Amino acid sequence: MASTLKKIILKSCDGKILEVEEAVAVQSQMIKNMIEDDCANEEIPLPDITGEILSMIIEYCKMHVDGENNSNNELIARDADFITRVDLNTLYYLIVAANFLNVKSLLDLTCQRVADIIKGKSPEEIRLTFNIKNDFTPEEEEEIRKKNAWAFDYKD
Amino acid sequence: MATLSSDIIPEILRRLGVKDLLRFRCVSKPWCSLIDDPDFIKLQLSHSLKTSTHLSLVLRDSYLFSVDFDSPKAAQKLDNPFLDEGVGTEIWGSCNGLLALYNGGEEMALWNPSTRKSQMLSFTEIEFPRYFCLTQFIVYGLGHDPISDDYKLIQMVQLYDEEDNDSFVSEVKVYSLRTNSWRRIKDFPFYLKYRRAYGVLANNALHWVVSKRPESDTRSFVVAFDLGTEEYRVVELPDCLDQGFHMNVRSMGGSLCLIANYWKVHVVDIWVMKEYGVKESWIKLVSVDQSKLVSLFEFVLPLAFSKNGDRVLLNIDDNKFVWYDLRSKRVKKVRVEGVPSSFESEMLVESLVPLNGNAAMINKKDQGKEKQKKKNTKRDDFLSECFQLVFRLRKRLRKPGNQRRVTVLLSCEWLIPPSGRGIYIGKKEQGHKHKSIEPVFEFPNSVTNMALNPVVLTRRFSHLYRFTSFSSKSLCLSAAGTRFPVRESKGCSYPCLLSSSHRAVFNEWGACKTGAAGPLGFDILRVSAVSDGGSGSGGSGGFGGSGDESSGGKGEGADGDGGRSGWSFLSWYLGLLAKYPVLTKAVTSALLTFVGDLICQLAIDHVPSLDVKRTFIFTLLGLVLVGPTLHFWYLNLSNLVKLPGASGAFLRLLLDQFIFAPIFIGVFLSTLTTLEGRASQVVPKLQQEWFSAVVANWQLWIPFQFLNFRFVPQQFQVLAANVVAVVWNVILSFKAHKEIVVTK
Repeated sequence: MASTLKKIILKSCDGKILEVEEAVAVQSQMIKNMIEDDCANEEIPLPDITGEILSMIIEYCKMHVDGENNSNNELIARDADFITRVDLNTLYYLIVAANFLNVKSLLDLTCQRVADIIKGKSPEEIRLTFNIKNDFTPEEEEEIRKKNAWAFDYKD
Repeated sequence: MATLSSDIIPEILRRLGVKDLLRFRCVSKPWCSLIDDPDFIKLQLSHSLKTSTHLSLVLRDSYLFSVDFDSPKAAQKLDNPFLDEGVGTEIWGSCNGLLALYNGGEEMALWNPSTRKSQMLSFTEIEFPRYFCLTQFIVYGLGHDPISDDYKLIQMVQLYDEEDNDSFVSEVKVYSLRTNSWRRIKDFPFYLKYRRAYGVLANNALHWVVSKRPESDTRSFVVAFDLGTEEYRVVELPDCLDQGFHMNVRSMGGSLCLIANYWKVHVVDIWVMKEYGVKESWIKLVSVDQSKLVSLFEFVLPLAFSKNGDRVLLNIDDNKFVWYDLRSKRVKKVRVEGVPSSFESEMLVESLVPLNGNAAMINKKDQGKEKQKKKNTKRDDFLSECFQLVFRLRKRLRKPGNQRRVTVLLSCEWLIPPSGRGIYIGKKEQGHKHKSIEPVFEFPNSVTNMALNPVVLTRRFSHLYRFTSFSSKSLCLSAAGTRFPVRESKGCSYPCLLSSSHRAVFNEWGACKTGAAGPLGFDILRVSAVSDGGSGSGGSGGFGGSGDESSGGKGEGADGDGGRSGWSFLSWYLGLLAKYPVLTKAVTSALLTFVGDLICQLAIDHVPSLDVKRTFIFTLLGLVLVGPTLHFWYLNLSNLVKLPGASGAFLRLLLDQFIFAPIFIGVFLSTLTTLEGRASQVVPKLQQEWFSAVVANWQLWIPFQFLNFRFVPQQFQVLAANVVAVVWNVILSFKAHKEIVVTK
């Protein structure tokens, strides 16, 4: 049976080629659109997505296709298991890829994971984490802090 | 981590809570403008609502408390935005993270507890002319208008004619947050069923349970006010509803819920309209009956779905939460620390929805210190508050057209024990327990004359004090929706003891000097209350616990009249009590002992001819010994034991039953025997009868008072106690006159 299923060929930015069943590939709204528009017959090049990230995304999509009949709770547990294995740097590339491929559930999962990580952190830690330059003058920053001073009274 | 593109940042940040977001405003300029952006505010809000995150339960007794919805473990007190916390804050509505608040005094505000911003609102005058015979009530509702993207507070005033019970008029005004002003809109053509019902928000519309007419067409149905179009429309209800229930509405997860309370059989069904406006989408989601809950309940209100949607959080009787499992249909109690003994609950979502003004926010730390001070204030303070209150009330009452917001500005609580022994003022502690309960004045002592019960605060009590308008939220009319006609009242009458729970109406406030009436010797507040023909006299008073909605059941006219005539006698009696407390109590006691002895002689001893001397002495003792002694004992008992809440009540019960009762019965028997000229028989009499009399006293009064407080509707408790007092006098008379068996 499997052989009769249509395969979609994806090519990562580092030249890795992966064959994916259509049912799995259409988890990506972008690829789904391409199939509908009949542009998915040849290999699809994916700039910005490395082979490592791509195979993770395919793993995730497979998990969801296979798990369609499972209970909601089981899927949530699997998602949690999947996402906690990922370090922050990989998480970043996953978000970019999920955003590009438009895999909604994966984008939700990854963004939620980042939100959970930065919850309760200080602005300084946030700047470090996201590599953000502080473009406020010290006075401006002080002004903003003062406005909601209570929000800076927090633990961990 | 590498720099994230600007389209992904909002994806992440919208999942955060408000406190984090306010802190992250100072990460960088782009972050700051993103977080302040109205579109992002909506994004964050809709994400929280969709995923049921950043939700909390706001509880209200006289203060506000917050309980985290994700892990409902402990309730934390919320500092509200009012400078003067008044007599307990009312919540008039909750929408998109905003609460409409009223402090029970002169302040009304929109408040976003998550950003700690608030905006004071001006009151609006009632425009239509008011007539003497009209009584009024006011309800509110808060919602969001998606068309103009504005928040609107609705004030609905309804007047109805007491003489012609079927006519009513209503005035509706809308406050717009954007314009910060009120304007009048089309009148509401339906009759509001419940006086304390704020509009229930679902699908950008506020909902109320109404009927066509107050008297002739009382069938309940639900009407929606569309916040966008400002039109009223009738909501179609499921067909398969049976008869014989009280109808109420609530919303849960944005869907409109219909609560059918079959109060006679203690079954509550909760229906949900899955698809708003589609009649066929009504489904019966929850059915709770007595067998599922350990204790008797009066009403059930739905609050929220659990995150994964398989359970529903329910509020039972405003004093506990349970999870209802939609699959197993079982309930599980939710234990939350620090929850007030009785509360109203409201769901609140965290949001960044901005409010313009911040004027009333003061340094809460200073206020905290002040509170500490406040707690330490003595009686003087609240007495002066009482005077101020009367003064203010009078001043306001004199102003024409200003009857509406007559309120009591006390920072303390009015507490009415179910025994009806007096009005007590208890200062509230930071938490929810009453720090001290001090009698302000004590009145119907002798009504319960022979009832050797101390002031016991029962479960029913909390309902009572919430809904007799002497409540934490006190005599504030507008919020409580209590009707408040201002007119002369005859005589001096007191409200609480007899008020048929929430439907008490305060007619007039004034102060009257009564000297001895107040044990503390100060001016007392005179309040008269009139039953407005509510459910109380109809016999379903016990059910009226919820006060606001589920109790429903508007009494018919005939019931109301009965209530009123009963009132006049009782208010006359209570007036007497206030004027001549000791004498009135003594006479009542004498009457009860007299009847008791008569019954004993005629029905039990079967005496051939009435022993007049015996009756006389027994009655005399009732007059000079029992009445006055009990008067002073109960007066001092509450001063003696100042422990708050149930433990204090329990201690008082112990003192009363195990110290006072044995001594008093001893004294009574000895005096009686001596007076009857058998002084030599005092010791053998006591040896033979004292212990058994004490035991009989315990056997009779302890279980009776328990049952009385637990099951007898509050307004009948005193009556029940008096009936039992007669029984007790029969026993006492019998014991006192039993032949002494000489044992060798």
